[in-house]
Amino acid sequence: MSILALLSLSVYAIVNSSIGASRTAMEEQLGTRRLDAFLSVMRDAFLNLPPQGTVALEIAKIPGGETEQRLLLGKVQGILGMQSLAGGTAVFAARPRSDGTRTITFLRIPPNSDDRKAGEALVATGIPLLPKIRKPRWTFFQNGNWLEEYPTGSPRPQLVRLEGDLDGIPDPIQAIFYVPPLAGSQSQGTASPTPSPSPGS
Amino acid sequence: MTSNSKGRRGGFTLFEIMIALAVFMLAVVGIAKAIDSALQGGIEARRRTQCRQQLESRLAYCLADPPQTGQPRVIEANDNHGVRVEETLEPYAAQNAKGQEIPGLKKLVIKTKVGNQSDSADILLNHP
Repeated sequence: MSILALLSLSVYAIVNSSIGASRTAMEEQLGTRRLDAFLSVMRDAFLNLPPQGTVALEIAKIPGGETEQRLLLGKVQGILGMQSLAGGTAVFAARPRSDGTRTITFLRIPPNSDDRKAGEALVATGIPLLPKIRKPRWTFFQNGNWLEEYPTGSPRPQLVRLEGDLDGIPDPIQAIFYVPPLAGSQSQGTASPTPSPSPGS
Repeated sequence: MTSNSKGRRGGFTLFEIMIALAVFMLAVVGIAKAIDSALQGGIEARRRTQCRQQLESRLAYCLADPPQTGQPRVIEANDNHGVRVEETLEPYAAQNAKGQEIPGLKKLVIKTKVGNQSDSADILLNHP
């Protein structure tokens, strides 16, 4: 009986640790897929920025005393692949969560909104795109330098970079997005066609 | 017959216990192997995704700040969260419809590698 009891205990321990490891692996895969989808959405948002589109970063105080970083893509046309969301400003806000992490949330300020309407749009619930990100940081590449501040009215950056840590993924995030240059303001090389990585070498 | 059944006590024989042990061990080894292969698959999938994400980021970066022609730019895995990146820019010969050579055309090749996973991308740049 004692042999059977020991055996049962060892089987239980093995199965339990295996289930734990599988759960961790599945959570990591889920996080990776979510990050992948988010990066795809952001890449599309930048690549489809129209000539009159603007890029800016603002830090705003929100109810509760915390601050919120907001990446603003102004004068966009069709957001998240939905032409019905035409016009206005796309806002990617890093909303604080109760567990100390943040959720990058999509908000939209309709075109021709006055201050009151814009304020209402910015405190709306929004669409959560990337939850459980820690210390998200947007930086902007302009004339060979990465800038941390990018107020409204700044010229369009060449690149936008997102850094941070995502819960469940061991490596830190570092994603760089290309912002198509405006005709005439281009000083660097031009890709032809639009970048599209091909698998395998 | 009656006396035999009265004298026999309930329980398992050693042979039955050995068979049960063998079945248990087979089941445990099977489960462990299945979980191990699933974990390995997960790790490979993550590396593949990491490779591609890094490739997309470096491709974006190179469009704004390409490497020098003929001088490969290498970012070692130790400095880049385990992803090795190699970027090269080489002149590329191509002709237009009139058979004239197109000037300033260069080929940008980016290769990323994590563990035994690798990925690559190449595009043409008009970079005089």
